Amino acid sequence: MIRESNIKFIKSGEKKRLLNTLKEQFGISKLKSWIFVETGKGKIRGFSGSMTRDEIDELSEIANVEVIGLYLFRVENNRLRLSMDGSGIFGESANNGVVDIDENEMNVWIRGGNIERELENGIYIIKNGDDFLGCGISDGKKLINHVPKERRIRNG
Amino acid sequence: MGNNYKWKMKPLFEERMRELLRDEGDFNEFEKIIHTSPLRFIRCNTLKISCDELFKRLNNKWKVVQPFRNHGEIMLVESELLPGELGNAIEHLLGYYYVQEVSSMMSVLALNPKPGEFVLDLCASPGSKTTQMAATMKNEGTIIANDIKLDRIKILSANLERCGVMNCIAVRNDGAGLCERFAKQNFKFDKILLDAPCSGEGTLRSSPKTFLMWNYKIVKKFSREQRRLFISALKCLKVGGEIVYSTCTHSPEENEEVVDFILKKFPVDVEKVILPLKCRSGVVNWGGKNIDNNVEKCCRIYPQDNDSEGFFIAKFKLLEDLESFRGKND
Repeated sequence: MIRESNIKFIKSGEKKRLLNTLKEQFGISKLKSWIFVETGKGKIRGFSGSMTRDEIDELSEIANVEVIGLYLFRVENNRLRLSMDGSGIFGESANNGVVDIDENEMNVWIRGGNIERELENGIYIIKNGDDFLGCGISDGKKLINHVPKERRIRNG
Repeated sequence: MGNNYKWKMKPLFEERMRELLRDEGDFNEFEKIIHTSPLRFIRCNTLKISCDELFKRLNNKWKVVQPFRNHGEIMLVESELLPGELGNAIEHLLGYYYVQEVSSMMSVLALNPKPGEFVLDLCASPGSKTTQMAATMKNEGTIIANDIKLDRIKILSANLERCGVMNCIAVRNDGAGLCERFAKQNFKFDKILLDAPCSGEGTLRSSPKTFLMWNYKIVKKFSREQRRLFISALKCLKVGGEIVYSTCTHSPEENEEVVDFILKKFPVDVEKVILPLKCRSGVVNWGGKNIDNNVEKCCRIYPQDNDSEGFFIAKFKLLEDLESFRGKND
């Protein structure tokens, strides 16, 4: 959870740059007219609600705002790593940078394990059938797992 | 009685429940069911998956049924499961469903928030109802979800993330103070959910420690707190706006007496709620005191009626601006 003191809204120029990166990495060509906020460590959240930026600012003056919208992706070395839920939102319109894993690999991945795959270095959306499972970072030989601990299957 | 139950009702609690459930057979049914584990209900998160798709998928591994024809999102897992299996399934981790007791789904069905509305969830954590509202609203409109403690906000936040909720702002404040500030700044909501902190008499099946912790002082303490929250919440509701007041307890001090107090002091109407569970009318007499007859429109959900937990739901409409009402009545 991220404390949203002094809310940092993403301005339209920065939004364009983010969209370009999304297009370059995953072929995603449209961003909805959500409000985007940056919450530290390059994490970007999207808010689909009806409040305007001014209203959110006004809200933050009378309430301790802790969380706005949904964590979508993180900017790392000018590349974007989609969150588990961001991969579900953007994954369907992505036409590159998507790795389809099989059932066995999925069972490894969702438990926090890496997957052996020879791919170009970079960030990939991981999916199994219709399930989007976040992003993995390829070092050329394997996809390194980024499923957060609380979203992994625990071995009983 | 001679029953060998693991947990025992405290004498005063038993006396009060017997007063509410005057028929001996009814009370016995109540006593029997509160010593059993609750059924395994889940709610399909339609923000991420359709009810049909989830139903098919889950039936590949468990026996799942949809007990309510008009509410396909409510599913009951009938298979025997290992402890923690529901929470450790991939469909849960991906946010396709929320493990939620069926009676607790009723407050949101009563409030019926719509896409585009401005909604306040005053005591939101852990987020079962907030995520249910976001799904009903299709992530459109805005939900302000409040809770008082940071650790509760963390749980709320984790559930909002898992369920893909995008139209919510989570805030951490004392609920009453927050509503006063909202009112001052003219933040007015279309709908408010006040799922109030309570003594939890309805949760004996899932939380048997309540058998031990229950005492009358707690009931009275919560009753005062509920009134304080309710008064403040009304101040930030639009005229014509609706508020649902719910608790997971049976005590009339925390339910009908709160409703009665509000009806006497504020320009509100109680609305009849139609829910897919069996509801009994609110009680109009308690402890020798008469309560406004309108509380009969409220809904008491008893565990023995629905094989569920216990719950209380009341829905109100604000009829007039509170300032002008006060002006007229001073």
